Amino acid sequence: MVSSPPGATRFSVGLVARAAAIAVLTYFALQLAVGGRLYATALVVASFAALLFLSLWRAITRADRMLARFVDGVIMGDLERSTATASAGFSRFAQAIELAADKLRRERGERQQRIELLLALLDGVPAALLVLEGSGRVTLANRAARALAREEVSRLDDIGALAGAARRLELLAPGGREIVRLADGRVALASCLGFSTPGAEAQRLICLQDVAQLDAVEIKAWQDLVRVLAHEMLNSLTPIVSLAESLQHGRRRKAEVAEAIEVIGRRSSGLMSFVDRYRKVAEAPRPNVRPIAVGSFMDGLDRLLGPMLAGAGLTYERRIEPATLVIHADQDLLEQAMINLIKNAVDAVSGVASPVILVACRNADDRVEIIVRDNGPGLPAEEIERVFVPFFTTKAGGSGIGLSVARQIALAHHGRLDAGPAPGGGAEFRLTLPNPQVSNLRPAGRFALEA
Amino acid sequence: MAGPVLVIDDDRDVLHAARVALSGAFTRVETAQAPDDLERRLEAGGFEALLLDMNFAIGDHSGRQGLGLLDRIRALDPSLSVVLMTTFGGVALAVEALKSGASDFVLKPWRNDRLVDAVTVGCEKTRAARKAASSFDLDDAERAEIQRALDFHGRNISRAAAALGMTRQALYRRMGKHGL
Repeated sequence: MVSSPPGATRFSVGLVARAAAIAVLTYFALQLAVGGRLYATALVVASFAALLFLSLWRAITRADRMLARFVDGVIMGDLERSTATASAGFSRFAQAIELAADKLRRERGERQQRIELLLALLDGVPAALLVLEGSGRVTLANRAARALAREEVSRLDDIGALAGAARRLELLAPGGREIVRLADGRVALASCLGFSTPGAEAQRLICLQDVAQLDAVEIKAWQDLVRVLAHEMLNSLTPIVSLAESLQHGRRRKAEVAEAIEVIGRRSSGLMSFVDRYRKVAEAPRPNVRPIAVGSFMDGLDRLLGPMLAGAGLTYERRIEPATLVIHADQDLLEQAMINLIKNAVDAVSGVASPVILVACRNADDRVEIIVRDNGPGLPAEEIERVFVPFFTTKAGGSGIGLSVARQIALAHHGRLDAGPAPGGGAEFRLTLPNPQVSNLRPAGRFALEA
Repeated sequence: MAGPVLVIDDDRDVLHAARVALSGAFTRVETAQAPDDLERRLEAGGFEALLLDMNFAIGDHSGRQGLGLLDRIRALDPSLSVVLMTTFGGVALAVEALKSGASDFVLKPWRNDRLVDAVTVGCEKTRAARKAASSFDLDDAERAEIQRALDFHGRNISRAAAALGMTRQALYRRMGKHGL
């Protein structure tokens, strides 16, 4: 708060005195001119009055000038010099302006620090990030993007390393993804995010990710798959090869021969159905994405799975927040994924005293989360990723593709499916799908983009 | 003819094929789908070789469980040869298996004669190991008996030899052999 300085009262008294003097002098000048016809004296008195008025005017407009200088300082971003010069009169006002200027300077400093921190963070991201205006002008490029360009970037065409990919990136719509080949032969995954900040036109964030970084994970997944495939096939071939050989050599009783042929036949058709299932996993589904009301979708799922859930004698809990939640997905594929996840949960709780399965759907910023939780024995840490490997199964009679197909479906929607421990024991599967309607960035993004 | 042998694999058809392939070459072929009750089975069966799948547990593809079971068998009967079966031809896994005391390992799917050879060699190793163990026991017993007689007769060689029912020369020879 501004305390009242001692000069303030004196100044106010001075103003009143000056105004009174002007009034008295003007009255006298009028009396002299009209009543006494003493024009010369009246003129002198009037001049005094005019001088007093001028001084009063200057005192009053000083506040105006101070305010104008402060506003100028705010506009020009120059708040370094003291805005309000010490003045005999308006010291309370001057102090208030000085305080305001101080606060602005401090806030500006903090904001600048925040911008620098966010820019440093952006520079730390290994993927190349570019922000594009509607006109195609690049307004922001992080270090990886600048390294790609080797010079100042103003348009995508300027980035020589992009070669022919620049045009395709410029046409990339928000939510789109594309694999592009760079001039040096590297392959990158480009993804586009649309966003708008209050009062500005819509912009796009283009993210270029080196595919080599993804490779390590994918190659590991493929290696696991090949190991499992090889194991299943070689194991099935073992009795076939051995029994065929046994039949060729040595005399066998008729019953033995019949039994051997029966085993060979069974294992051969087993191998065939195995290859069929593999084909199912290998074929990536193409989702036909439409908005789906989660409530009625879950009702449909209940009708499908109701008999199985009732037969298992478990508590089935369902939560949808908000009740009007809408998800963008392919209805059939999502249904398939959910059936697989819920069946998996039912199997997980089969040996539990009071089995409970919870399915929770909720909005989480720009995505929708569906959580399937069980209170079964849970997943050992080393099995968390392996459960998604096709044909990896810990269940006798399990097909081994349910969870891996569910993950394929999530990936086809640009979403993900993760497994983890559920709070209070048991396992939790989290299916996350992007929600394309909400794509406004939060304030943190705005600061970064102002720089 | 060598044998008897025990085969452990979680796949019923693999067990059947192994029984057919081995039946002509071994006195008896027993099979088990799970390593339950192993201790009693090994004691009762008098097996000369054990054919063990490295991935007997459903969903296990690392071979760790097979190696763990191998350790258990080695502890129960160190003389029994164990031949491992695996679908993975990994050198590292083979080295680890042999280091853990496996007698040999065969890749699935196997050739019948290769399987018979590996198990036959396993049986021979088991016999040799058991023979060495029992002869080692005889030597031990002889040494302990001489020591006892010598102590009892205050290291008087003549009386000790008479008590043991052998000549003094024979006793000297045996004392030299046992380092007494």
